[in-house]
Amino acid sequence: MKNKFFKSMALLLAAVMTLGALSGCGRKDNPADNSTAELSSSENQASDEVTQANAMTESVKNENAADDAETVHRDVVNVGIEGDPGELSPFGPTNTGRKDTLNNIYQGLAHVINGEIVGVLFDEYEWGGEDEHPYFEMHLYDYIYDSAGNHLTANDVKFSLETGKALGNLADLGIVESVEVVDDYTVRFHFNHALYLNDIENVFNNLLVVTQAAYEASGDGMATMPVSTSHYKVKEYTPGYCLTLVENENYWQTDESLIADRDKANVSEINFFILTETSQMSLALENSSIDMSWTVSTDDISRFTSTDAYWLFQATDDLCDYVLCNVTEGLPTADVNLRKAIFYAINSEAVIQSVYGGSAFVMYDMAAQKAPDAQESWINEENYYKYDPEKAKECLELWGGDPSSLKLKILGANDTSTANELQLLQGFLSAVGITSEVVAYDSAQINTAMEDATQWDILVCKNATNAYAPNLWKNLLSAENYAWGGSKNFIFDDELQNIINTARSISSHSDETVQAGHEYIIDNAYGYGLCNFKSNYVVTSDCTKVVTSFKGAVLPGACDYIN
Amino acid sequence: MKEYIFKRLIMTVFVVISAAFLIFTIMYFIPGDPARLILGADATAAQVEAKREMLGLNQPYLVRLGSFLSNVFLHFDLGTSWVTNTSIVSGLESRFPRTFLLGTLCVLTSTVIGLPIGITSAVHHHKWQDKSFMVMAMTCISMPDFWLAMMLTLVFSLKLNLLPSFGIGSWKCYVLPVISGSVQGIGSLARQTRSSMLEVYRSDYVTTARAKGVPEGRVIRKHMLANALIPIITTIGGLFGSAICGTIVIEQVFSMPGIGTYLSTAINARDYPVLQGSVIVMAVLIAVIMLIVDLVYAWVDPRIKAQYVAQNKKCGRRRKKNG
Repeated sequence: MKNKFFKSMALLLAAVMTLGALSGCGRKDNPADNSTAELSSSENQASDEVTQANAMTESVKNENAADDAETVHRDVVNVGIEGDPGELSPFGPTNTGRKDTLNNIYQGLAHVINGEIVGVLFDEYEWGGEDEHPYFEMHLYDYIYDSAGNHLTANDVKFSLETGKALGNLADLGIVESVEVVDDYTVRFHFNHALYLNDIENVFNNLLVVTQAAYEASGDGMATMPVSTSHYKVKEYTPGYCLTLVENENYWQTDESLIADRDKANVSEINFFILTETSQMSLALENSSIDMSWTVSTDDISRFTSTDAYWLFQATDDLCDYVLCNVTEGLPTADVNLRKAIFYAINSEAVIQSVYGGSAFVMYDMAAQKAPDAQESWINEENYYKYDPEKAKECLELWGGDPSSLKLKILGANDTSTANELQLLQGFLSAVGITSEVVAYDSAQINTAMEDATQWDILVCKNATNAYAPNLWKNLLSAENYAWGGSKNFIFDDELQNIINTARSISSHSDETVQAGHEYIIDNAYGYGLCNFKSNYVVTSDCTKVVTSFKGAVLPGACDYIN
Repeated sequence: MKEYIFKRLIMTVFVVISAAFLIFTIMYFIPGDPARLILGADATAAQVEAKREMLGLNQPYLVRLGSFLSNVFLHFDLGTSWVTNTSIVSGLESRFPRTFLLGTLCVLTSTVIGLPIGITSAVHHHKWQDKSFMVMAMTCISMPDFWLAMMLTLVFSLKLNLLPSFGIGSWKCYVLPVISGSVQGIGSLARQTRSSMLEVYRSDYVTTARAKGVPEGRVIRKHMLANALIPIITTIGGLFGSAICGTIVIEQVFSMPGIGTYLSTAINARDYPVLQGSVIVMAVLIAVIMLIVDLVYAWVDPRIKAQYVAQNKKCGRRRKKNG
């Protein structure tokens, strides 16, 4: 009797635990499968939205919203963000939380939209100086005041830039050699070299301007209570939980026609809730605790497509996924034909679908297709490494070595998705006869392994930039970026550096120079752009237009809302 | 007794210094370049080198260790976060009260529910009450807290919309985290209480009390429970330690800004100074909690107090003898 009872209890417990495990670990409708299917089927539609939602532009309209609906001023908007800013100073280190919030709190000198400079704190500007030492002169509005009532002048711009540089967190400010205050409202940035693409954009995007008086009065570098010229000011900040901004009723720019879309205030109060747990983000959206988020997991987006309560759109992210071969002399991958064989063996579409749930675009260059100078012809080019195992085998024959004697080391990060990607690559290589082993490291440790040429033959890495094609090439292939004077994959090729610098230089950037770089990199198989990721934006459907910062973060106050 | 407390405090200092030394050394030898992590992929080699210099990462191990230990133990300065550039002490200060509150509520809930369940099981051992409670206790122990947290959120926040799924805005925000955080404690405390109570159940003094006609409630309270308390206190102490230092999962799931979230964010961002600071603070907390548990033993059981006193006298005599 006793034994029977214990057996029944044991069975019952086992059943409960199994049910629990099943309900906790999976779902009846596998969201990943669904999302993949939906994404694939709506690929064209998504592509249209992506074009509009490119981070280089600034807004996306909800096409499903009624055209005649009148926009309203919202009292409160709750936003879910995945990272804690930690501190709110204008010149602090970059992190996800700051990227998502700081452009609501501070203003920069200008916005750069589609390559065009739109002044925020200045009305006129001009370029001057010589090619090697240019300067950018701007004339500030003479009626700029911060929320504490301090008058902002040219000296404050100089102070902001010099402080930002001195603190060492904003690498992009380094190109400004000096700041000259011409008069109270005129300031000149002198550059230390002929400008490359995106140099000035990077300065405008990263330099937040504050008054020296307010900065010095804050005592903690505005880490907890910023004072700025923005349309919003901080009401309360609880690190790790919530940042609350309220509209600045005394915003200095009273001429509506001069306020850029990104600086508008259509909401009285914005709460940024910090939700580090991905599943919480979706739950909070579903139970209406938050109104918008742009970090919804691809696995969860199917939960928002079946209802009219949400508007979902996808935008190309800045992040791209790359495969690089180690070109160090003596290694098998120093041979261009073996590198080509490796690239031809990779099925990027399969990686996107099976590892990233369809949430990425195939790339046709080492630069993302959203780059303003990426050329449409690249999509149909024959010479890019579209998946072709037969060609891979041909290249292996050209290489002339014995593939079965190879044991290439594939290096990558050990996060779940990259680890899956590494295994898939191993499978692709095996399919064409190349044996390989996977070496995965934690993301903090992988930099050290990458820098050691003996540690890897093939590297899978991610890199982000929202700029022109040559900037992406520069990030991975420019000798300037690496202490050993070569590229990330140890290419020591002066011609490559010249080609990149020519394409990067504002004076010589053209379709021809970009095409030359594109072809040179492909011909030498110096790198392989595998995919460009998408970001999933979910907002409630009463938001009819989403305005984003240059970093792709939504500016909730600048969005349009209807009742 | 004072001498005992003093000795334990000295031991605590050594434990904390050892913890600080270990965590610093482990972090030092972990490969990876924090300067590159902070500045990102766009930074040039020269900028990364300048940042390394600024952070003092180019100094040798012993110099960095010495400076770290002196900052921590002489100036009580845990440094600043590499990611947020904020003081770690102030970060921990602002988060500690929330973690402490959450941990205390979890332990209180576990005690208030687990203790009576254990007592009832022991009193009714081998009867249906005992069996049902023990099945319940086993279920509680077997349930992973993150799973329970997610299930509770799905039911109470999403389906019923009764309680918030995250935050610290009101008392309601603490309901689900406390339930999730205390369920395992309820199970283990109930089992520990039952087994301790059963050990004294047939003791002579309990039989004598019953023979003298002492009411059963009083026998349980005064004679059984009082004598079974030592292992129960040990369990509660352990629960308190793990509730304070092990709230990473609960805080993460419910997005509560406590030490757990601070630590897990630091781990994800490879923010080593925050990691080191949090580990040191946790080591201090655990050491203090264990000291308190030992002192409570003495308070609860006069025999232990007498033992401490006797030991001290013995030591004193030995010292005198040795001159």
